[in-house]
Amino acid sequence: MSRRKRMAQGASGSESKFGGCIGYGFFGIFALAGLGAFVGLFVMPVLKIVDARSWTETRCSITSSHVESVSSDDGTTYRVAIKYTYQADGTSYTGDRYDWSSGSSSGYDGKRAVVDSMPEGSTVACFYDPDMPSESVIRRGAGWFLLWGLFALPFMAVGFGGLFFLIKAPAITRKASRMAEAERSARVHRPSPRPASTGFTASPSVSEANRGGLSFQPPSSPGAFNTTAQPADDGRPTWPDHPPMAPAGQIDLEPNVSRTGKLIGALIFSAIWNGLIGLMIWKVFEDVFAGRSDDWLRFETFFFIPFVLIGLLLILFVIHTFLSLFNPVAHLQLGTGGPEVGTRFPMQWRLTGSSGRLRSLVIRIEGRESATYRRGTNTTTDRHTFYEEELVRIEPVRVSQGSSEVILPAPSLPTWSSNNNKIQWRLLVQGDIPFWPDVSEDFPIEVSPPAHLGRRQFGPSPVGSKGDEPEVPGSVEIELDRIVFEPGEVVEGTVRWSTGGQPAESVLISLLWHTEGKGTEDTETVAQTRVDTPSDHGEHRFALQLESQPWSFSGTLVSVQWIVEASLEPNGDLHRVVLISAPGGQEVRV
Amino acid sequence: MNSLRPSENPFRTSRVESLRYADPDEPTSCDIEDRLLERWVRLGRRAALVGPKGHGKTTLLEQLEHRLEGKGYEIRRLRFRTEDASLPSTGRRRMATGLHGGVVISIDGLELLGPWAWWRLRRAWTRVGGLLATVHRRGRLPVLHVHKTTPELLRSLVHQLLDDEATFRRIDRGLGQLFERHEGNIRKCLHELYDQFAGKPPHHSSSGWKPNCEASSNRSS
Repeated sequence: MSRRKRMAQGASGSESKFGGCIGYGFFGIFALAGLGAFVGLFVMPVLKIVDARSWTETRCSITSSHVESVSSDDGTTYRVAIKYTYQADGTSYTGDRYDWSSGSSSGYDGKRAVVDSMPEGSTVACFYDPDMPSESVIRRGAGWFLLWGLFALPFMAVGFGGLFFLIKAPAITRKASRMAEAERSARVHRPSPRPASTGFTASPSVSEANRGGLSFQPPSSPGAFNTTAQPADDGRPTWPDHPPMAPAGQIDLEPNVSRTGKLIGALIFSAIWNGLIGLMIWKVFEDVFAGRSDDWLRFETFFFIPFVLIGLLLILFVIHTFLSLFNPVAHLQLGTGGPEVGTRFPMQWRLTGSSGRLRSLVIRIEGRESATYRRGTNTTTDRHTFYEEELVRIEPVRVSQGSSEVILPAPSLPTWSSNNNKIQWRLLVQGDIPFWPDVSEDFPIEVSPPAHLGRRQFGPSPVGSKGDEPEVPGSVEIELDRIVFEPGEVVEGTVRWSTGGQPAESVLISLLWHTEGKGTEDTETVAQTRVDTPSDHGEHRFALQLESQPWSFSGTLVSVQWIVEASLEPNGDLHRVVLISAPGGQEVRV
Repeated sequence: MNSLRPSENPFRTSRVESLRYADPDEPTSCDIEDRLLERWVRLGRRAALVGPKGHGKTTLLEQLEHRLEGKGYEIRRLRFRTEDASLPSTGRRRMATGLHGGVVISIDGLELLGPWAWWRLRRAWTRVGGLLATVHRRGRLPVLHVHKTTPELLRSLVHQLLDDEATFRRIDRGLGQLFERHEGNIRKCLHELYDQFAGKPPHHSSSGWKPNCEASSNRSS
């Protein structure tokens, strides 16, 4: 390793450590503040309420009673300011505690009603601690003020969640680096793509419908993406009849979620939840635990039931996650040339650990579309599996490693994502272990557009407006030379306009894709050109280059459409023409 | 393979979001924005649209924003979501810059604003011309409008989205059940209709109703 590289890494490492310290400090403060606030605003008042249940009742004389206003930048809040005297063991004491709330809050009317019910000179029931008679209170039960304690929960979640992430982050980064390094080295040594060997027998798992009748034109030179193949006579895309084999090599896949990370997260959450609930239960039922009472059935018993049930479920989840640590671990390796749409590639699988306990093992590949809808405060994500194929099924499991062939169907879609819509591929490993948590792991894979696919040549077929100029004044129209394209091609056409005598700043021509369907729409302009200060009427030739992705496609949740759009700026007419950008010039349906 | 493309589904997002808000109490009224803006002025130009999820608060808020823009106001929009209720620092700077009487702050999801951010906002609004917000429950602001939905409203919206009368008549009978199943959440109802028209299995165990999507499938050919 060169000195410069080492120095760069050293600097990066120290920056990372510095950033980590700040992170630990930041989230640590959040966690401590949240915990402190929760204990102060919720746990302590609950303990006092429980303790006060055994205090002695007496009569108090009110000596002062009014609603106190507390003004701050956040507005005015109020508290019941009350003073009283009482006798305990022959001694006179004074007190000023109405209930267990601390501080002031909004809501004047409720406090006014309390004060009005306890005017100066009146006597009311109050309670004092027989062990420390100077401690007293008028209202010893619970109240809405306990809900203030819930404000602390988000702080705790942020604090402990952040600390958890920081603890896990280095491991995640290391994993990502290892994967990236493996992929880089694999790509460096990537052999040239080659067409399907004549001896290849297609896996029976691939449906004939996906391949039947499609013609594959091998590239004229290795790795030539731009090689032009002859189009199929019937006008269908030139997908391969027999998917070519990806070159040898290997990429180690990593599961989506680490088992240890899941266990640590579950453990922390469960410990906090059960610790706090346990502490409260212990205080509430202290007399029962100490044998001074056998009064189990009371209001608090029913109050705690849902909290205890959640705690038990959390413990079961921790146990389940812990036991799954001892499950066999699946390791998957893929050929480095793939995965590409319309190719087959080798996959090797290996089980480490106690693989003999597995009753069955299933490895599947799954392609799915995902659409996220955002509206108001709500966000919902829908997923739909458009392709699913079982690659391995072993029952009973007598071997701990093997290989298989993954065939990505054609036509299909490469991995793609925009803000709200996605196409994702993954390998799923599921193993059944009797009387034990099952193996269930999810390995995301990046499926690329095919590098070897032959490209069609399309003849001109003008689409859009024709003629010298738009018939309607103040309008703009587009005529494309054709509307079907291979991804990455250049879209050519003519834009014509007539300003109708109104001044126009420019005619703007944009090439964009946008999504339609169940999710929130995504739009991206990939190329633009403009005609500045256009004359009253005229025309202009334009050429805009398509990107290789996304392809024009329609699934169940998402459609992607490519569009050329021309507009008279500012605020003038708009004309759109939809085109197809996909292999073979046909929209992909999944 | 489905015969109906997402871009052809009558319940796709672009069509659903093009629907205008309709008040179930006055479904034929066209001047709801004007009436509400008059009330907003009477309430001191600080008020909230109140209602549960999927009841048209965001839709009406956007219509009011548009109307206010037409009256010359500058709208500063803040959108909060349950999973991401933080205000980005760029948003904070933009919000706080150049506030004057011609600015109206529009907040979708006011209840997600933390106490600190709410405090800052209350300081800021003394310098702006008004505040419009959506909330799920009454609280921080006077109530401008309480949203509610009815099965008739759902029917009316579905009727607008479906182009042909025959398809509407076929599914009309099940819309009441759909409304009840989603407890009046129109957004969820329309999402389920999208799934039904896309041939996607519903998430829930349906209690019998399945709209006949034969007509919709024909439309895609």
